[in-house]
Amino acid sequence: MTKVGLDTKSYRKLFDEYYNLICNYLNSQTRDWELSQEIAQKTFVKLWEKREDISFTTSAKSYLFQSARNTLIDHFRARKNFTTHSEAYTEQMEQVTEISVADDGGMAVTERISWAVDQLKPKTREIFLLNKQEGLTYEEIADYMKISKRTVEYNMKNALIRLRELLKDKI
Amino acid sequence: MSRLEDKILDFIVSGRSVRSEPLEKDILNDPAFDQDLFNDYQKIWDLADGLKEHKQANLDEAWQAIAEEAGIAEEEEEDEEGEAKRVPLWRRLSIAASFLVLVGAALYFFWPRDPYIITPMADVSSEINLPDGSVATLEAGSSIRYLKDARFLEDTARLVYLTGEAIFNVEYDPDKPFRVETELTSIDVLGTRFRYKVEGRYSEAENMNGQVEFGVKADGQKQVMNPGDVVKYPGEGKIEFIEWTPPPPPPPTNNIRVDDLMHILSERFQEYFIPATSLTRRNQTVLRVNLNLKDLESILQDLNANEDVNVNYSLYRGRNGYFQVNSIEAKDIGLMPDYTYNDFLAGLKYKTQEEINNETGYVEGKGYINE
Repeated sequence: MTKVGLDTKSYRKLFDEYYNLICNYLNSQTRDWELSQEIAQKTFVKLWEKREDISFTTSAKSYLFQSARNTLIDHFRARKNFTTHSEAYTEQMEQVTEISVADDGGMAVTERISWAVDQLKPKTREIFLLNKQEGLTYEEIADYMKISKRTVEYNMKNALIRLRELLKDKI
Repeated sequence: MSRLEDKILDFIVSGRSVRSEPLEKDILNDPAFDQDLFNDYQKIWDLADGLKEHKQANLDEAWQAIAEEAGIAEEEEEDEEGEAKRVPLWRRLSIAASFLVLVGAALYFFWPRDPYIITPMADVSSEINLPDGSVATLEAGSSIRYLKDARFLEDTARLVYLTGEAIFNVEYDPDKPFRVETELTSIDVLGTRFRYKVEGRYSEAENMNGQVEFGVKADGQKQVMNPGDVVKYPGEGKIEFIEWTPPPPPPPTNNIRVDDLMHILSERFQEYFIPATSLTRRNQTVLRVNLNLKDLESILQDLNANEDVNVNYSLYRGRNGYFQVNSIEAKDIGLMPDYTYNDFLAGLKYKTQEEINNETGYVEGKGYINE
């Protein structure tokens, strides 16, 4: 086990690669996006503070997930001291500890899909997200965007073709 | 795209799946059928369902917060100092090294360095926090330049150079005027909020709060602007001044529009509303409300407690723990402009259209009557 000794550049790279992923992981546990971002930021600040002594036993990703999970548990523990809602606390703690840290639940793949969707043309992206993210039917999208259902289907197919090109060897 | 690929895509985007029904025979029997291609499309289609749960954080803001909290810029400087301390003693004592140190020190103090921060041209609208606490919200493709931290505050005026378009929210400081300069024009303020845009030689400004003074550098033209006033300067000639006139009152109505109700709610409970997820479809407004802190239902019940308002609504809990409002109706006796949820809580009644007209001096068909 060797010390990594992070410099600013490699730290920023880790941030760019994993920050959003960590936020989504925490959000899957807390259903609280603001809290998830707060915990993710604390996780990265801790990483920076320990940069000179840090050792990654498996990978930086596993380390960050483990650290984020611990930070979240610390947060709930600290909150317990200021609240009488011990039942809610116990429930939240149980939810967190049930998570397998090694498995990010496919979030890294979703992150890549999200990146690829961002590369689509604006109209195609909007249609694709209205269907896949908002759950609108093609009829509802056509109605909302004042276009024909055929145009919606055409854009969905184009989105798939482009996504396949962008995600080749990445999923 | 081949005819077969088109058929495969038709099959997938129709929402069908090989798990629930077999592929059509004419696809399967086609000699050009490519199972890998089909699997690729199906996999992406299925994985994209994960987007429902996926969110995107603002990385720039997060990085700024982390860098501030961790003191990353300071650490970098400390690292450099640390490196210097590790230089062997004999070397530092040598005449040559001393000479280099002296030269280096001289360069450090006398080399003309750029004292300004120049923000990169943003792809999207972005917020810049200035050293005095003022905030500049830059439109896409815009940039500002200002003196670095202490120098910005030490100068006699807080000076910002603008390229493009921005809204400035200026911290009040009577001792240090805030000045925004473009190539040809400028704006001077003490503390206010205004929008300023420059395109080539053309300048345009809109004051939103407080009082500002717009000026043309070349000929000294000045124009004091009150809230709502707009000035346009084409690059030469006279300043065009458009004085704010109050807008006509809202049309009489027996119903609060859903948008208005959303406005009232979001003013009072802005932290519970997730921006940009309100969507109107099939005459229904769908909005998402974060339930972690407050239950929307109780807010709507509060609204119903006011005798002037009758809110009918139906709600259901979304998969992310949000409420989706399927339909919402509210009746009142005329919506007062700027009526907020705080007014409601303070027991203020909505006003009728007639009362509003009497107060504002507006007469139907004639506009505003001045005394």
